[in-house]
Amino acid sequence: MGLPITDNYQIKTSKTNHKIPVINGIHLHSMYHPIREAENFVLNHLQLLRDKKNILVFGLGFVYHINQIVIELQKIHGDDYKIVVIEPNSEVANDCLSLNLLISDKVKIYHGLSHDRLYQDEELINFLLAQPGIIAHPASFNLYKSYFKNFLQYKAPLSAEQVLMVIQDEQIKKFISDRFMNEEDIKVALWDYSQSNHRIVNKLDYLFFALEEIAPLNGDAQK
Amino acid sequence: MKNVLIINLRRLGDIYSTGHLINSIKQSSPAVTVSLLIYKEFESITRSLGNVDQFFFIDRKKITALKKNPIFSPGLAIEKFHNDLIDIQQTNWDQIINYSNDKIGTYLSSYLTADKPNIEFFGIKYLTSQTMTRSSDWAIMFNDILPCYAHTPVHFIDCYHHLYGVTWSPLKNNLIKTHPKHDQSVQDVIEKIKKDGNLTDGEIKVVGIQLKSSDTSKDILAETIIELISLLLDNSKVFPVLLIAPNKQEQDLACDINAYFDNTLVVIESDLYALGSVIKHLNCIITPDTFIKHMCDLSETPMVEVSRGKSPFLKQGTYNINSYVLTPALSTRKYDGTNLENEGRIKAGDIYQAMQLALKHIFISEVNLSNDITIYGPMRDELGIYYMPICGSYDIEIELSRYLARHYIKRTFNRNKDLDISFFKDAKNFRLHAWLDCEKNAVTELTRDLLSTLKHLLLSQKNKTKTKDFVVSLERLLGHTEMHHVASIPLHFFKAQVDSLTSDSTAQNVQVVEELLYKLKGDIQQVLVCFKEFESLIQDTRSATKTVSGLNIPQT
Repeated sequence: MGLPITDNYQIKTSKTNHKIPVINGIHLHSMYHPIREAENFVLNHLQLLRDKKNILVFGLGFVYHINQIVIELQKIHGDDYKIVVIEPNSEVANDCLSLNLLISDKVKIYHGLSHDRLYQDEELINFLLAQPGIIAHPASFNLYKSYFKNFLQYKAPLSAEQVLMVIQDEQIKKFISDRFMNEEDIKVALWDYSQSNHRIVNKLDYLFFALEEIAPLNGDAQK
Repeated sequence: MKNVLIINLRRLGDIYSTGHLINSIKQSSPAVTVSLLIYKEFESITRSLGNVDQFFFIDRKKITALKKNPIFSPGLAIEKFHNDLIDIQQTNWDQIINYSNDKIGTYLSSYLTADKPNIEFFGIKYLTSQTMTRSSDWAIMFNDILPCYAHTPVHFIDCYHHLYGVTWSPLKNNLIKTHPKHDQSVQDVIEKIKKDGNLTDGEIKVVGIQLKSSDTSKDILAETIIELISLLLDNSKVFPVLLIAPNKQEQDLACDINAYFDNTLVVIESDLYALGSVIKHLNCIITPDTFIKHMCDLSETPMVEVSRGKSPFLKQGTYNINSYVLTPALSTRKYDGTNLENEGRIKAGDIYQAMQLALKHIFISEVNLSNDITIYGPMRDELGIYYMPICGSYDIEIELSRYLARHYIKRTFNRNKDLDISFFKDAKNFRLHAWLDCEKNAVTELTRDLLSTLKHLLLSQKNKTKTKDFVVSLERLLGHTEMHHVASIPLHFFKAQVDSLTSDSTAQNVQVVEELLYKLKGDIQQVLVCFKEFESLIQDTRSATKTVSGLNIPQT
């Protein structure tokens, strides 16, 4: 999945004298009062902010909505919160950052990255494992609908070749490439391997068998 | 300095129960360092369980999420699992104990000991042929016999002590860690209770009631708890407090119960760390089968263990001889979540009386339980803890079966020959004989199939076409493991050893099986010897009407 193409990008100034990014003719924030718009927007998500201290935001814009989320999260959770923002457009993100509009250092921004790259980022993975609340910035989401939808529906590649790309440890890499190099679905291959009754020649076999017991291909993990 | 790793990939209660083994290891050799490998979801125990030098974790939840959720590459799960074990893999262990007896622990035992012949290993692991190997007969006992035998004659904790080869030591040195601030808070609450009741220290015993377990089949019913609290409030010598964890389900339940008493009850809400202080300062705790039971044991706080549903008290009940286990009669128990209505309901009065026993407020002879309810008292003998029925109704056949199975194990492992049947002195002679006849019949049938197997084995050695007959007769013989007779125990040992055959040579394996069959024959003879001892004791006791020594039950 490639990144969305921007035909036209400019920065305008709102009536309240705030900078507003405009992409392909679409204004990402209100040209009248972006702060008030952000306040009203966040009011609709208050329950989610109460329930979750980790929030994933789709669309950076010029962070007016994000700053408002920060204000609410601070009221509810103090400093114990985290926001991750996914923004496909690096140009917008770089301009936003150079304008120094963000009010919190607890916001991590990923911009201009493909889905494969995003899903290999350890910090983002850990953040997603914590099951964050999700808030989509409507203007950004509508502009990059297929990018965000595909992010939500992403399925990691399962071929041995691609799985090897995310593994750092050389021993594990060698073990997998020696046994499963041409496999198209490593999950199925590992399961089949664990069910076979072959003689153990590498102690990593035990590790992989234990992994299949912890999280079997089908069914629940052991209680 | 010896470096010991214990793999315990089980739940909170099981991790706490490891504390007994760690205590015994450390007391027998103070220079030993003991580390525990547990799942990360139980990390909070590190603040509470004392005597452990280092904890290692496997982040099972994260690994499972990475492996099962299609958005993540399975490579991430593999790498995470590997990384979780790197520190353990790089440590020089002198000994590794597999306390888990599940497949994951067993694979990891093999992983951590592979290529490291200097590590002394205890428990079960896989060989390169994927055959399971047991470190000793006690490993067979733990993994092959106790899970299959209906009424387990040996406690898990004792099994681990024998497996490792360490004698049980009395508890010492703060096995449950507490914080002075928590200790002070609990003391303040207790002082206030005593002050409000105008009672001086020692006059009132504060009794904690644990409201919930992890499994509804084990829970004490809410109406029973309410009735129990009423009984406790009527007794000026005791004061009940409700114990809950900081979660909404338990808070709501405590709220509902408290409403029955116009919100006058004291509710103590504590996390795992603070709970240690609560347990330490209470006089008695009433709990269904939860990890709190194991914490009480390590704190030596007397307890009434209310054992229902899935709670397997014979395997993992209280380890404190000052505590009691209250259970529906064993003959009615299924140890699962089904058929609870027919399982003999434990009444509030039963729990109340068990608590009075634990507080030494009444004598055993004063207890009068509901029908089909039994109180068991833990007793210590040379094998460890044994549960003796001390009040209520019980099934004599089940008790005999448990008792004689234990006697057989003592004879086999400890060469102990003393058999005390004073416990059965009130049983009718015909019932003892009926049970014995049934067990002897089981031995006869087993022996018949054993001899048939031996015959077919010998025939198959002469004529290969007879191999199938041998296999059929061996399967018939092993079918006796499904029965729960005393003679099944040596057969389980035989089966485990046959399952562990590792040679690629059929001839070699057949030879080993032949040796094992002869050994089994000898072991079954030992079972018969046990029965003969028992039979002659019955006759001696009954005919001479001589006084038999009393049981070693703590009288209150």
